[in-house]
Parts: sequence; C-alpha cells; structure tokens
Amino acid sequence: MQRTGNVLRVHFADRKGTFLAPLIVLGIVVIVIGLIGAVATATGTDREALWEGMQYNGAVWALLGMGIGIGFATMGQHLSFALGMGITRREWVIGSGLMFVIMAASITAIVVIGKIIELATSGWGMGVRMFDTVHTGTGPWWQTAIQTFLIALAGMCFCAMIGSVWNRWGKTGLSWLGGVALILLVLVFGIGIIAPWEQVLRLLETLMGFGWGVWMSVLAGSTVVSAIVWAILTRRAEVR
Amino acid sequence: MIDDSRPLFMQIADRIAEGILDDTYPEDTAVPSTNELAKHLRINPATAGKGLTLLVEQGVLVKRRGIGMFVAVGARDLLVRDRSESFAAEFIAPMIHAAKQLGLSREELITAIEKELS
Amino acid sequence: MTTVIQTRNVSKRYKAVAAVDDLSIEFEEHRIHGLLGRNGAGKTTLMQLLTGQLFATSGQISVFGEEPVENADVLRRVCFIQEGQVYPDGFTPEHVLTVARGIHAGWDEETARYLVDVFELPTDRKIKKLSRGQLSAIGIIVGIASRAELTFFDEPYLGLDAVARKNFYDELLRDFSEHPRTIVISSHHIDEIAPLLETVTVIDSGKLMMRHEVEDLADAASSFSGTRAAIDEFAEYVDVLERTDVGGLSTIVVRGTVPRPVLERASELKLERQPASLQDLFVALTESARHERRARQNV
Repeated sequence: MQRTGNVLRVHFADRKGTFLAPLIVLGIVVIVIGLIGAVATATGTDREALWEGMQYNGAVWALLGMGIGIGFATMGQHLSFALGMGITRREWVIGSGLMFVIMAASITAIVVIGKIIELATSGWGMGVRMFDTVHTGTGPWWQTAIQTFLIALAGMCFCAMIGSVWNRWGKTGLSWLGGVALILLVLVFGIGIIAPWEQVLRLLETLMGFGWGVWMSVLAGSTVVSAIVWAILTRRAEVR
Repeated sequence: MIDDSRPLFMQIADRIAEGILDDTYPEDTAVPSTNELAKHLRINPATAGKGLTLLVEQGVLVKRRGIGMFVAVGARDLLVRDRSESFAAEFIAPMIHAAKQLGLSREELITAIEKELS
Repeated sequence: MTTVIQTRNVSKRYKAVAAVDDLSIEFEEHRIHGLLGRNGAGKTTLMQLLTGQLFATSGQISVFGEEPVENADVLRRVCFIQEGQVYPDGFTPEHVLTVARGIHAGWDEETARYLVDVFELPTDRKIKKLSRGQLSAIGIIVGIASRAELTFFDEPYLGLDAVARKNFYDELLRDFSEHPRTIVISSHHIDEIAPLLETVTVIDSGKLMMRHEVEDLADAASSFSGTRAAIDEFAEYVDVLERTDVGGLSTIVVRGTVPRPVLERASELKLERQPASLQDLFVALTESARHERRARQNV
C-alpha cells in the first residue's frame, strides 16, 4: 500500500501540471461556449435550434482527451523516473492503473455534474450545451457517467499500451503497430468497395442498431485488453 | 598535502606524529577523531582510522574507550628516538650522495653544514 | 565483512555490443567504493543492472543476497543517483524531493533542507531550466538525505564548480561518518575522488580491469624511467602496462609488485622508480586494453 502511494506521489507530485492545466483548458472552452451563447442570445437565434444543434458539440473532448496525455506520460518520462527512484514495474502498473481510475472518475464527476446543471438551467440560461452531448450520451445521467468513465479510461489504457510498445521496441514497434492499423483500415475500406452496397448498408444498419449496452461492453472490453497488454509489456520494460 | 606517493594512511600517521613533535598535541591530550580527520582532510574515514591505528600500534597513541584517541605519555620521546634512527638513512645518506655528485670534499661539506647551523 | 553486491559473469548485450561483458565483482558493506572507467566503459549500465532497471542478458546479480530485478524488498533499501536522470516535464526540484521523501524510509528532511542551502538550489524552478550543476545538486541532495543502506552515485558532480565539488565531498563524508552505509561512486575524474574511496574497481569496455583496496594501490603499479636502452632491457622482466618514449628517455608503468632481484637490476640500470598514481594506473590499464583489442581486430 505504501509502495502504491509512492507511485501516486510520482504522478501527483506536480499538481499544477496534473490538475491545473486541464482545468485551465476546460475554463477556456467554457468561456468560448459562453460567448457563443451570449452572441446567439444577442442576435436572437432560436434557442430550441441552438440546443438541438449543440448536442454534437465536441468541447467535452478537452476533458476526455486528457487520458491520452496521461497514458503516454505514464510510460514516457514518468516510468524512467519511477524506476530510477526504485519503484518496481509491478508497483508502477498497479499504482498507475489506480491513478487512471481516479482520473477517469474525476473527469466523470465533472461531466455528470456539468450535465445535471446544464439540464436544470436549460443550457446555462442561454440554450448552450457541452456536457449533455452525443459524445458522452444524452440519456440519463448514469449512462453518461458510465460512458464518460469508459472513454476516459480506455484512452489512458490504450495510450499506456502504445507507450509500452514504444518502450520495448522503440520506433520499430510503433511502425509495426501503425502497419497493423493501416492493414485493418485497408481491409475495412476494401470490403466496403468490393462488397455490394446493399450489404454494406445493411451491416452499418446492424451496427447502428446495437444498443448502448453492447457499445459500452465493446469499449470496456478494449479497455481491459489494452490494460492487460500494457501490464504484460511493462513487466519487461527497461529505462530508455 | 595529499601528493606524497606513500599510502594515504601513512601520511595521516606522519601528520599526527609531526603534530606531537611540535607540541600541537601535547602528551595526554586528545588528537582529532577519525571522523574529524576524514572531514577535515576530505579522505575516507577508514583511511583516517588506519592512520590512527598505526600510531596506536607504535605506542604513540592510546585508545580510551568512549572518549577517543590520546597522545601516550612518553610518545614524544618515542617519536624522537624513532626518527633519530632513520634520520641518517633518510637525510644524511642522500645529502652525501648529492655532495659526491657535485664533487664536494669532506671538508667543504662539513663547512656547508656548519654554515647552515649557525 | 558482509558483501552487499555480488555479480557472477554478468553480461548485458545490445545486439552486437556488450555494454557489460562477463563481469564478476563484489562490493562490501559500509565502505565507499569507486567504480572507475572511461565514458562508455559500462559504469552506468552496471549500476542500472544492479538497481533492476535493466535485465541482464546472462549471469547472476545479488544485492543484499537477492536478485534486485522487480524486488521491492531490495530496491527500498537502495538509492540510485543516475547521471542524466530523466525527470517528468514540469517537475521542479521540490517535486523530486517530495517523491524521494515518500520512497526512502531513512529520509532526513533536515539534512535535505540544509543541503538545498549549501548548494543554493532553486527548488521551485522548472528542472528543464536548471544548469547542469544544479541538476547534479538535486541528485547529490537526494543521495545524501535518503540515507539508503546502499547508495549509487553515477558521475555525481558533472557541471559542479570546484567549490561545489568540495561541498559534495565534505557533506558526503560528514553524513557517511555519522551514518555508515555502502556507497558506490562512479567517476572518470579519478585523482580528485581517490582520497574518498576505500576500494577501487576499474572497468573498461564492460570488462573488469582491476579491483584493489586503495591502500594497496602503491603495490598495484609503479613507474620506472631511464635511458631507452636500459628500459628496453628492464621491460623484459616486468609486466608493462604503458610505455612512453621521449627523446633518449623512456618511462614504463609496471603492473604489480616488482620482485627484489628485479628491483636490484633496476638500480643497476640506474632507473628512477616512482609509485604510479591512480590516474596513471587507470590510463595505463585502459590504454593497454585498447591496444590489445586493436591487435586482436587486426589479426
């Protein structure tokens, strides 16, 4: 427990960098959206239409995207520093995993609280929205909570996994990873081109038809897979 | 001071011995401890300790449990006797050797010594 | 004396290059050990192996009687001050001290603050903006204040000026004499740290060149100089590490103690004899190893 605390200390020692910077980004986003709302109100734009249109507003990614930075940093400079301070790889994975959960939960708390206020005030009194959007779900608050948590956690685990590939095999490893991704992409598009249009459309329809629960399970599954690959690769990680 | 080619701990012992000869450390008083010597001279404490131990073995210093190292009674005489014995080999022989190289006669050498003495 | 570190035939290979090559060494408890070698000799790699940061390609490593890799029980007793330690972006010295305080059970905050004063370290400035010397000072402060049972200093004083280096020696010796522990210092500035050391281990190209108690160093090598002809003859009787010829005069550095009959021959040949300094010995050892390697490559 004490040793896990050491890992958290490495992650959270620089509080300004860890918490303040993302909150500043969030603040700027909030100001911009407030300005949009103010302009819309001043020019007499239809509030209903504005509310409707802004459900696609991607400003929440300023928060969700934090996971990417956190995931990469965990396997970049932070790992070298932690190993240098005598933390084991096992402790590092456990402690960092815990940190991922804490950070994803914090992001979720902000989004859910934001959403509740947003709905209660009819879009901050101006018909604007950034927390009750399609990205983190426009359903009930608990769906948004689960969706936000999983997206943020998936981002961290996936990027930590890429970071561990880089640690083990350097640029060559990343090239291989990119190559595999490219082949998959080509395959998908290849099928789209070769296969009859109707079939492709039907496939898309089926995919879209999957319920929220299925999509969340897919997200949770990829998070778990990324986390496992990350943990396995980190077991033999060396300082670079 | 650390430029002599002999092992460091012997140089440390010599330094203390010289302090005893010139009364920096009178008999029955304490000499610097291992750690004080190490810090002062920027040397490894083990090396400083060996220097002091060498003097204990020679009977120049005595260890007083819990207090430290003290100059033994009679240490000065001991050192004087010791050094007188090696004086001829260490200083006079090389001087005579150098004098021979210069072609100085016996009388010239003695005159030179007497001149320095006065 | 208890052995804290022991390696048996340890190697670390990167493709064709062996950074550490079949190395067997020992470091005993409560002493200050010197690990000497030129840049790239494998000092840092060895320390990284001993602290479990790297996995050995072959051989055994034992620290406090156990494998250090992924061993929290061992690593919690170790402090490694690494040359070129990577610090996370945005970190200040204060952040490093915070982390170190949590990790090292023996951490002494008073000593840490005192050392911050001694080295005039700006603790709230971003590490990226610090000078090389200030970066070294962070390591020195952590290394001394952590009071770990086993502390590695890898080239601890890069970028420090003469005054700061003296401060480092003073503070290290002061804390070491009050709190004895095992310390391994790597360096390529040899004569300056020699008085601090109790033992000297020299490595070159990842291989062990020699290991000696500092007090026996006078016996480890000596140099003889005289006329070229006299040295030519004398070189037949001894293990020559290095030879320099200037005009009609030659100097050789000889390994080990020279037997009395050979010494007598030296005085007949009117050779001047001097004990080699640690620096001389080090240069001679590494140079002769390089010549051997080159000779082997040319065969």
